[in-house]
Amino acid sequence: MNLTSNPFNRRRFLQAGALGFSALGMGSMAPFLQSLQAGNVNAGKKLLFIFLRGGMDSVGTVIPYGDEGIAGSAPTYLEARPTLGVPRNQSFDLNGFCGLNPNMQGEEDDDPKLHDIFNATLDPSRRRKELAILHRVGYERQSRSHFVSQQLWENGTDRRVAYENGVFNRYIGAYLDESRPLQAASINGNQMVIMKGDVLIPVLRSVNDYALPRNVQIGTFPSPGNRLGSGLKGAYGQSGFNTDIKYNPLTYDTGKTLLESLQFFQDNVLGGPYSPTAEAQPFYDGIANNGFRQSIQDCARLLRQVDDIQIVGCNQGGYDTHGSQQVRLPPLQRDLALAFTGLYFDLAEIWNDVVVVTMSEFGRTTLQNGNNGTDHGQASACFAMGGAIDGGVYDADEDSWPNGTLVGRNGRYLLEAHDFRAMYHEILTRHLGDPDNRMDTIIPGYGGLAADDPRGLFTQRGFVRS
Amino acid sequence: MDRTRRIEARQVQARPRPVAVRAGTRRARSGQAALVTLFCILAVNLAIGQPRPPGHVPAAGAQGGAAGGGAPPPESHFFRVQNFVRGDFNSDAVVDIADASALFNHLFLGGAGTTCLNAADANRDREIDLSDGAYLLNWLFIGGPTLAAPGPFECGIDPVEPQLSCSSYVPCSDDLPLITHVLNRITFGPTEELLTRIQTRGDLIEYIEEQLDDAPAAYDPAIHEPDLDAFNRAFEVGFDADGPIPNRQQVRIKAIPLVDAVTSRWQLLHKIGLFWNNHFHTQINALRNSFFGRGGRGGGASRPNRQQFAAADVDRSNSITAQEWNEFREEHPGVIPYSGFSRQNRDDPSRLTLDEYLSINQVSYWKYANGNQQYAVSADMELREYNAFRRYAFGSFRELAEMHAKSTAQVIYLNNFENTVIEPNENYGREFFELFLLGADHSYTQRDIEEVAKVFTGWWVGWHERSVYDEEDILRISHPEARDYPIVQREPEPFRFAIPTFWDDATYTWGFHFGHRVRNSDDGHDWGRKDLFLPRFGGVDSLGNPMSPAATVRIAANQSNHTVSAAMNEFDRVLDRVVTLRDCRKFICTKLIQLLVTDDISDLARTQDMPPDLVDLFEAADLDGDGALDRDDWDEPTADLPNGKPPEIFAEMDRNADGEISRLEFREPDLLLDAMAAWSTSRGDIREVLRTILLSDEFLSLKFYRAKVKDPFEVIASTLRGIAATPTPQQVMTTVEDLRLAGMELFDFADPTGESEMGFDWMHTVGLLERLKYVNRVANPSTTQEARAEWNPRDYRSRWSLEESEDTVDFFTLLLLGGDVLDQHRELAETAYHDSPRVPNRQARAVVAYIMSLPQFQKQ
Repeated sequence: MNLTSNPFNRRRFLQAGALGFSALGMGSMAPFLQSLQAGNVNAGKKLLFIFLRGGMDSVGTVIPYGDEGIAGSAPTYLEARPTLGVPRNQSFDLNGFCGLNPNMQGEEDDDPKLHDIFNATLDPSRRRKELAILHRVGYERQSRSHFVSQQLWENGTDRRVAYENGVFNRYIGAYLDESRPLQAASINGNQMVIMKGDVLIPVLRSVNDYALPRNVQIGTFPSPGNRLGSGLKGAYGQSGFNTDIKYNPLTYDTGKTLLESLQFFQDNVLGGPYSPTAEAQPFYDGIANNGFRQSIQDCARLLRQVDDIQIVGCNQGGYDTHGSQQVRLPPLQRDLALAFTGLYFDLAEIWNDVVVVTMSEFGRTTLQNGNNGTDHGQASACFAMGGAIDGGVYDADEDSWPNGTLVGRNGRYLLEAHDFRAMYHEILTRHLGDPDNRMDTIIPGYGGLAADDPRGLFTQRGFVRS
Repeated sequence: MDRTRRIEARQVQARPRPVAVRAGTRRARSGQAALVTLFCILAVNLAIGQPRPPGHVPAAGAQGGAAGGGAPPPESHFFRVQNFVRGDFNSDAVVDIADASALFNHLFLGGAGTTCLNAADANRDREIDLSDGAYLLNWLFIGGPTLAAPGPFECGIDPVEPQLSCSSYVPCSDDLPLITHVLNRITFGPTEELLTRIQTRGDLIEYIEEQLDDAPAAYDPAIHEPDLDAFNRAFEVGFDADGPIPNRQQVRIKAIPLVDAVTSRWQLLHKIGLFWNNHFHTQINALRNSFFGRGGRGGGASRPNRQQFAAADVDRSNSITAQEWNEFREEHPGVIPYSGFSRQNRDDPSRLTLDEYLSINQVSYWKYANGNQQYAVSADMELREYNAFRRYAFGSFRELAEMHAKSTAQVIYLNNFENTVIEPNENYGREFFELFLLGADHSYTQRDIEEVAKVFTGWWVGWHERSVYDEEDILRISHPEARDYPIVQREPEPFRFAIPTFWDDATYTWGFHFGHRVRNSDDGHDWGRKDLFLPRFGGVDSLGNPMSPAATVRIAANQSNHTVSAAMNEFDRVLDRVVTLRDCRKFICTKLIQLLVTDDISDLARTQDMPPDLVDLFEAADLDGDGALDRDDWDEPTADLPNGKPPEIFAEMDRNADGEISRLEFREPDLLLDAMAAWSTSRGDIREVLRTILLSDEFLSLKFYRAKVKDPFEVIASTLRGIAATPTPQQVMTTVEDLRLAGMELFDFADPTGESEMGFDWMHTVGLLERLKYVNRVANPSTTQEARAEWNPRDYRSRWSLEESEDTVDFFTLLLLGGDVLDQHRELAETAYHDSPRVPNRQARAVVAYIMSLPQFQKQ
């Protein structure tokens, strides 16, 4: 842990601006609405991310049967997974090289339909292939610590520097827009690092619980006509507090963000009945994990109900399958595929504006261990879906995948081919938009990395249509 | 009414100067004796000649109106007593002739009075009159009796009742901010009782020392706090073989530390115990999922086999009747009932054939067949560990670390139980260094992780007889004489866990065990050579220095002496070495400072002087001798580090990112160095490290006043403590759920990092929302169902005569926030009072809920 970093220096600057607005009575804009003047991002484009915590077994999920191994030095998938391996004829063939784990697809009504999404055979009105599977996503000097590697994926850097400053927070900060009442949110019990930083982004455990007890007043912020304000907005809207006391600005600003967003939810989200679309509901209902079932529906709800929201996200946990992977992984794979299937239907009306993407801090060891599990590995695999996505399998076909790649890193791990920051870059620039070319600060040093890239880790894959 | 120091407001007042009696005053007294005697006589004559009604200020019930000008302040500030210096009538911080003069001037010539009658009462006769002036002059100039305490050199309170009033005495700085600061850090929140007892800085230091030194050495709530223990028994954590297995164990286990934190007298002990519990975190769900919920290890389900069938088929009829099975089942109660075969014995329901028997999936249950049982036995392990952390909280870090490593919960949680020479598992080995002892990448390398993981091979948890395994003290099993207790061997394969004794939790318990039989190995241990902390493997300490050859641990291959003691000796040697590494004391001291002082240690003071050992390290690193470590110094290849030192460490140390590490950046903060020095001299005695931190000038100051964010646990505990609200056991269970909703998982936290101590991790919208909900549910619930505690403000209203909004707000801001809030917040709290229905209790409830919703209450 970097004990000396101070993540608040720049946030203070933004917040000072926010306080200035409040004090001048320029409307009751919450801190997360305040903006430096920025160019226009792509109108109406939205991103939903799902962070798969624990290190998803990329090899066992998008199975590279095509890696024939190297005699004596590199095993094939089935050799590496004597008891965990899924026979090729049981999995869904994606591209003649990779198979999709059978837990993610099935023919029964309540089975997930990831293979049908992949083939564009699920909805007659959507005939383009719009599910991309990005294999071998990672970074070169990889940490095999969950905590470090999650931090790096969330910080958008491969070096342990700005620990508490997330890449999506930096994007929102770069393109803050006063006219958007709620630009980003995450559904989780704690703030995720990827959303943490200079701009305060609301985090909700669930949409329906995002309200104060009835006998507690949100109130009003202080203003020239009402020096004190009232209720809790009065408490957190005061400006005379001692800003030199550590965390005082953060505490007051979090209060302001909370109260403003509570008001927004009360007025705009929680007012009427809401339900997922009828086609989506059965798939959502099939998700076994209560928390994930709720949070994925809440993410979809915010995308559908809040016009101007840009980024929402949630977690799916439990992927650290050191033992009994044959028992522990299938429900997670099934839940994830059910979520994708549910989202495919639920987001149909905004399909062309939305990208759904998964991330995970690393893949797992190609060789299974002695406990029917796998240990921390290297390259991960990501799923991306949406109207802007050019479907297909990336970095996992005969041309891009030499035999032995399964253990191409240190003789143990799946060799990475695609840097996770390049994946972010493509989504942020092509989908959400980067009119002011701020990627070098949003993803620190990106230009330099992409310019000096002998292995092509940063080459744009084109999985997001431009 | 503003009589408390205001720090929260942006305009920070200059700190009142400490009281000092002018050094020359008393030395001069003999020389001035004649003059003073004359003055004294004159004064007395004046008094006789010009009597001034009322002549003295009545003591009892004084409203202070005779003193000073303007509106009279209330006589006392509720439970706080104003510090003062006796004899200092004119409140100028000095006891001298001017005080006598001002007193006489007031008494006889209508001069200004005083706001502190206590200070004016020089002879402590509870009256302010001529005799006070005479007594003062007598002491000052004629060598008369000393003034009674407090004073004349230090601020204090009058230890003897009754008191005169003292509404204000400016020269004595109000210690309340310091007291609330310290109580917020070393307890789970100030209480009225503590704020009454601790009136001065001296009281505060006494309290710190009491908490450190008087806490029972082997704390056991049943002995030391029986009331607390009795309350916690409501939660019935653990596996009770005789009684019904209680459900919701993962909630019950969290209730116990919460109740302890709110009620225990030994607050610091619990704070530190909980800190260790979090530092050496284990997760109840992981125990359940990876051990007790899986066959084989936590007891196992057996598949059917012919041996079982033959044993049950007593009459050798090649079929089993219900009666035969029931008899078999008496000897093997783990097997399923006969009805369990109903889907198999289709042909003749009265007899079960061999084929039918073999077609069922399993014939015996796992030892803990259902989730409640699995949680119960997991919670039992967690509770045992929690109790042990509390018992070892102030002891030797070496012992604490050993206890943790051998705790069954930890052996299971980080997979040491499946770490064998055949299939090494590095999970615990990695965290042993990264999370528990040294900090990420400090002093160790991946190779050291692999080497230390070998030391842990063969560690296991076994099923011990309770009579020989002291379940209260995990460490005892490591004592040489206790190490070789045989564990109960698992039942032979055909009948695994189906013999009655193997179901008997009353006789057996889980405990640390060495020896895990695996393929080609009787004990699962890797007896090969192990070398740790070798130079030239790239390991560097947190200052970028390569490992010293003195740090190396070499464990030779052991060909013949494969004993428990030999395996434990390997661990002892590694741990003995690690706790002496500089990075170990730095890592642990840093975390303790983050807990108690500030979570951002870069805010701690650093003086220019470097301790000699650091000077040596710096100069060794400064290859070009230019007084700063630049890239050239850093990248210079050496024998140990052919690629130079790691860039990550450079970036960590170069805090201002100017491309070089100055001497000031190189040295650690003073407080950290002091704590590390205390560690060195005491050989890792946690109590001495804590003493150094808690009695340091930097901690005992207002520098880090309210500079930390309370985590949700601290919010809940300080809420209940602050207003002495008492939850029922059921309400505690509900509160545990509130805690989870606010983002705190305690024993359920998924990562071995434990939960964060950093303020920014706890201050986000969902966490704040849940806090606001909680404080309202305690102080001002809208329904009884919503209430989280029994609490009624009536007691406070009657004891302190809280009749009006101003009194109510004044009292509760004092109680809950040391009185330190913005004026606007006081006004808003009064608005909450007036906006409530005109029922005094409801008005008080609204005020308290509002105060506890303020930003200041979220901080500590």
